[in-house]
Amino acid sequence: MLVLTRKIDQGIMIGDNVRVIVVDVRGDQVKLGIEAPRDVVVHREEIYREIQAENARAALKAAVDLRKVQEAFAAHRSAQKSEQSSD
Amino acid sequence: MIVFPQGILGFEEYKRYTVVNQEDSMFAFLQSLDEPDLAFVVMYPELVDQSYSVILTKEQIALLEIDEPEDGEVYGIVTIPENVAEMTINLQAPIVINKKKRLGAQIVMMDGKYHTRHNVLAQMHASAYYKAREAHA
Repeated sequence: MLVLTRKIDQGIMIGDNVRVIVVDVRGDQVKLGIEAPRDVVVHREEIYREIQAENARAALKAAVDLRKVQEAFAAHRSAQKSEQSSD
Repeated sequence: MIVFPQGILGFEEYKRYTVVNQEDSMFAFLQSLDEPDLAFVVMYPELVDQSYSVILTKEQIALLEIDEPEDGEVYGIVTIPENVAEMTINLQAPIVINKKKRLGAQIVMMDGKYHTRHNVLAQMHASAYYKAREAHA
C-alpha cells in the first residue's frame, strides 16, 4: 500500500480526475474532501462492503418464477392475518 | 433501456438494465441488458413502509438529471431466500430511476433510518395491522 503524509488543505490525485483533500484533522478523526467524476462512486468503505454483499445475495442465481414466489408469499400473509384475527 | 452510469454496487461493470414488470405481481425484475444471467427482484418500498422516502443529494440529482421529483421512481432490491417468509428488502440502498431520462442509480442513504435487510412479510404485516387499527379507531 502506498502511504503518503499530507497536511490540512493538501491533497492527492488519483489518476487524472479524482482528487482527495485533507479538510480537517481532530484527534483520531480525519475529514476528507473528495472530487470525482459523476460515474465514480464514493462511499465509506464499511457501507460499500455491506451494500455490495447484500446485492450479491440478492442477485438471482437462477431463473425465478415470481408467480410462485408471490403465491408462497400470499399464503404466508393470509396465515399471518388469520393468526391476527384470532388474537 | 435504463443506463446506470455507476452500475450497481458490486456489479459496476454492468450499466444497462431494464425493468420487467410481472402481471398481477408486486414484484418486478431489474434485468441486466449486458449480462443475461444478472437480474434482481425489486418492489416498491411503499408497500412495506408507507412513509418511505428518499432524499437525494445534489450530486445524485445531477447524476440522475432529475428536474422534477415526479421524474423519480424508487424500487427496493429484494433478497429471496429459500424460505420466502424470510424475504428482505434493502431500504438503505434503493434503486432510483429517472423515468424521463432513463437513468438509474443505487442510492445509499446515510441517515441511519434504514438498513439492508427489512423483513418484507413482517413489515407489511405491521403496516397493514396499523392501518386496520387506525380505521377501527
